[in-house]
Amino acid sequence: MEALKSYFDKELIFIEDAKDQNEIFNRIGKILYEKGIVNDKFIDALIEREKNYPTGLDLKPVSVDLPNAAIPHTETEYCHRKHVVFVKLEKPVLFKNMIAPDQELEVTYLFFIINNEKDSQTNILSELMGFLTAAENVNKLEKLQNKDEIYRFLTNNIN
Amino acid sequence: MIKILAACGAGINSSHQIKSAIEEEMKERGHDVKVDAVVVKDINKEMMDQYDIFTPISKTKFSFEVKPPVVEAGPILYRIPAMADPVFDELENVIKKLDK
Repeated sequence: MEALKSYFDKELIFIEDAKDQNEIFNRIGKILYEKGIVNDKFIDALIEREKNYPTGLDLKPVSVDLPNAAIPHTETEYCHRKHVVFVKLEKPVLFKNMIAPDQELEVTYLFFIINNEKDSQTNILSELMGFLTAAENVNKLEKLQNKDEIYRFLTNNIN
Repeated sequence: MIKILAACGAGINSSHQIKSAIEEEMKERGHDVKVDAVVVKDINKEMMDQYDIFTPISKTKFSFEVKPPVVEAGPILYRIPAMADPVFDELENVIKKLDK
């Protein structure tokens, strides 16, 4: 099994300011398309997918004062490679809660899951969940303000 | 044996995680269950009717009436007992009521 940490890339760590989900999806989607990581239908697929199956993760059950995260993704046919693209938002944007889609969440951390293999053996979601449900990891991300530090922290703390 | 249908949107295999978590936990609790994991858009009425329990990630709408009892299983994905245990408890209650 490939290690999840190998999915992170120094060039795919972002600190961004966006007014809403649409803006950040379009911005990151365009970068991924230009790098040849996804195809030209990725952005539409990402937006549509998020509407039908939202990916916001409420981290309150882990610890009440944690900022929330989301794991936007598409079906495999829109992706050419495997990556986890990390985005820290300077101010949160609204996502719907994955497990309760009628609730809205303010989300600060995005982990775009880019996967081109239907039966990939790496359990990306469970590995990420293991990381996000440790409050000290998210608290540490809150303190990190530069991309190199974030990259190092993620790859040192995810298997 | 209790047949359970787990469902998610495609892409990151979350229904497979629900499947293995439910099978493991229910086995530990002494229940004989078999879980099939599918993507929501592949489900039709004929398929749904073959199952005893339906466990989607979250509330899911279909164009047909869902016959089996529904247990929303999304909290299992957190992999922390505070989130997962209430789902397993509810599932166990439903299994006991089915009395198979």
